[in-house]
Amino acid sequence: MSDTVQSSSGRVMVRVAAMDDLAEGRLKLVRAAHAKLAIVRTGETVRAVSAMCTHARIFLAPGNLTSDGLIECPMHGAMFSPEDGSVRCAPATKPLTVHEVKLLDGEIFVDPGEEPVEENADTTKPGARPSAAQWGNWG
Amino acid sequence: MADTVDIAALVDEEAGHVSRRIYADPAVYEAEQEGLFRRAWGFLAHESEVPEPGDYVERQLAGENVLVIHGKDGVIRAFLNSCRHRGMRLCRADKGNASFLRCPYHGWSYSPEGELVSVFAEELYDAEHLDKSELGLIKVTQVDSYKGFIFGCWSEETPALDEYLGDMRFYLDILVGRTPGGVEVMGPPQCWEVHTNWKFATDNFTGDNFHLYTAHGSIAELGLLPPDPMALSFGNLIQAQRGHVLHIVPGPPIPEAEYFGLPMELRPVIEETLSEPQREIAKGHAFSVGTVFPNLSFMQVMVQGDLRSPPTPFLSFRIWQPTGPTTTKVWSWLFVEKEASEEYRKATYEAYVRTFGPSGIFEQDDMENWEECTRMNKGAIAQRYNLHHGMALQVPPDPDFPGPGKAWPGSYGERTQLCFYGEWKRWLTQEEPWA
Amino acid sequence: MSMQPVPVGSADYNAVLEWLYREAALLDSGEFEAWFALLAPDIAYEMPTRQSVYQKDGDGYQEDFGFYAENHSSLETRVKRLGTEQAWAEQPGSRTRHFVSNLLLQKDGEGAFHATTSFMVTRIRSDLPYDLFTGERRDVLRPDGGGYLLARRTILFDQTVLKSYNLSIFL
Repeated sequence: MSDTVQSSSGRVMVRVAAMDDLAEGRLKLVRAAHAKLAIVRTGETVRAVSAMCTHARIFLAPGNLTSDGLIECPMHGAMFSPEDGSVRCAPATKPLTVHEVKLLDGEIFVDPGEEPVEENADTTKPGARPSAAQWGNWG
Repeated sequence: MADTVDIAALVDEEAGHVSRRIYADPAVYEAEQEGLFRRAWGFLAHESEVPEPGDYVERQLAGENVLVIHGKDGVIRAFLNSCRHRGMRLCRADKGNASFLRCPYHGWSYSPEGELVSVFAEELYDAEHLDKSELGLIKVTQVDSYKGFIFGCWSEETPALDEYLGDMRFYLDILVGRTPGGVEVMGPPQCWEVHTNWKFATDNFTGDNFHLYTAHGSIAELGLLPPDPMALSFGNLIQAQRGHVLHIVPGPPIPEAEYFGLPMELRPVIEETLSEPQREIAKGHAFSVGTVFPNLSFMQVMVQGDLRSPPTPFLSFRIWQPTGPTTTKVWSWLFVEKEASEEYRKATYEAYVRTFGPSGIFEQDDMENWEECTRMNKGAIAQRYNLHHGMALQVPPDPDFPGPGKAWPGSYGERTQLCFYGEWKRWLTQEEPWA
Repeated sequence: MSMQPVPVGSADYNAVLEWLYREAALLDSGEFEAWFALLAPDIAYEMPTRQSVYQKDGDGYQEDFGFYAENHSSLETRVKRLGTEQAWAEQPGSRTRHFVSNLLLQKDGEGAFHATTSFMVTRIRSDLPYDLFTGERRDVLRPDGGGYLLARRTILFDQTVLKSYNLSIFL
């Protein structure tokens, strides 16, 4: 089997796991090309969202969803819907990005999306400075 | 068994591993009292605490009570605060002014310059048994000051203060020598006792900028920290020289946050006083935290003291004085420019007291962490597992950084903490760690 | 300002004493927002540092420097902070007991009460031995509706070196 398939819009989708690897109500972290993604299985449906919490930029943890079926960030407790990435509980304010999923013969393919242009400069680059947007009312 | 501890094995700077034993083991504590604190320079007092002849404060140096006293001749000296007769604690106040230092036990009296000037019933001694010129107060072996900061050292072999501070002076000048008048203390030091090993405090003050959004998560929840937890990750981790380290962090891109947010009316004189590379660093940064090896730390930061006050800077220096393997006495001074206005003095005082010191809404959570870390690291099983200092060790230093020493870009990392622990290890294991 | 002593056992004395007891109960039961409602908008809440000095040099308090320099906004900030999930110094919370006694009361020309009391506060965290805080409070209570608002509190602490690792509670 090929490791990639075309999406309906012609994008390259990457094989990340098999349906048998996924348990109901559990989050699995996978890598699709440049992207690290969180995938969740509900019945015969699989959803994929970006794996980095939009609040403190740490990776979401694999494991059980909350009793309400939400993704809970291990660091500060922000919660997201695995359905559409929306924020369900602070301190996050920005949703997770949803990635298109295709199921083919029990295999899961995901659109990794465009390679992101870093919102924040690499802080370990000499002379890098924060942007005004990072400072809220301090800026 | 404990006295056979292999100090060299406790810190691995390359791997980023530190043994938990350094925070709890009585044998390590004894080794550092002898190898480090009885040999290194320690901060005693600031000249502005003893402005007049006869003024004194009692301080501690390597666990010994030391009297810092301003002589009638204008020289500030430091002595063991102990009478030569029976060892009685001579001055029993934290501060005061004395024309003579009279022992409360049998009345031996000393001049503020430390000479034994009078002995009760002196006629009952013969010359063979009393030579007053030999019985002056015991001097701190080396005493010197830098920009008003008086240091003492119990070892003759240790290099002079200027050489000991070395390139750290470049960075200290940015904090305490940026105006012609320099800085002075505001009030006495706040003192409090913490059940922690002193190195958890220095660990926090040798480059740990990334604990902010977790340890001080409550402040972020209140909206008193920038909303993006990476906003404070810029700047540099700096090893000025040996174990003297600091980090500098830019603030938001607005003029108010340049020069550490210091009042606009002081900016022209600051620009004039600092050298070009110092000016560049001061202008570009709002926060700096660091440590003069081993246990004098400083913080020059902007904080919102409450929900309605704007970010306001303060400068604090503190001593983390070890009082046992797992106990520390903290001394924290607030400093301000001698040229500062009354309005700024009030603002910087309120910003400091509301956020730092034992009641501060930031610092009270630090103490919680340091006490619990110490408690957990006492266990024999826990001590089988090293602690982790591995963040951003792959980042190379910036060859074009304007200041001396080594500067690693990015202020989230554990490089400078390892510089500190490496130096700590040298002082505990080497005959001449400064060589 | 002309000050009138308020006798022990008088109606005003009893009312202020009861206010102090109720305030202590709010603090000990962690009802900080209810406690905050007792504070006047212009409150000054201070705790000077103290040093050990010879008697000729006074009592060692530093009037313009301390452990607290609070106003209404900063006390509101502290109370709100205690309501966050990450105020680690109080998560889990301290168990405190505020003992307030030795009330001496005066009334000033504007009708405000000046209350001097001794306090002893115990704090227990986790399974640790208790911390003990003792000292004197100098309060100004301003009549407000049927009760009082705290307009000023100066805490004269007995320790020169705080023997506790933090002050995450109100004294």
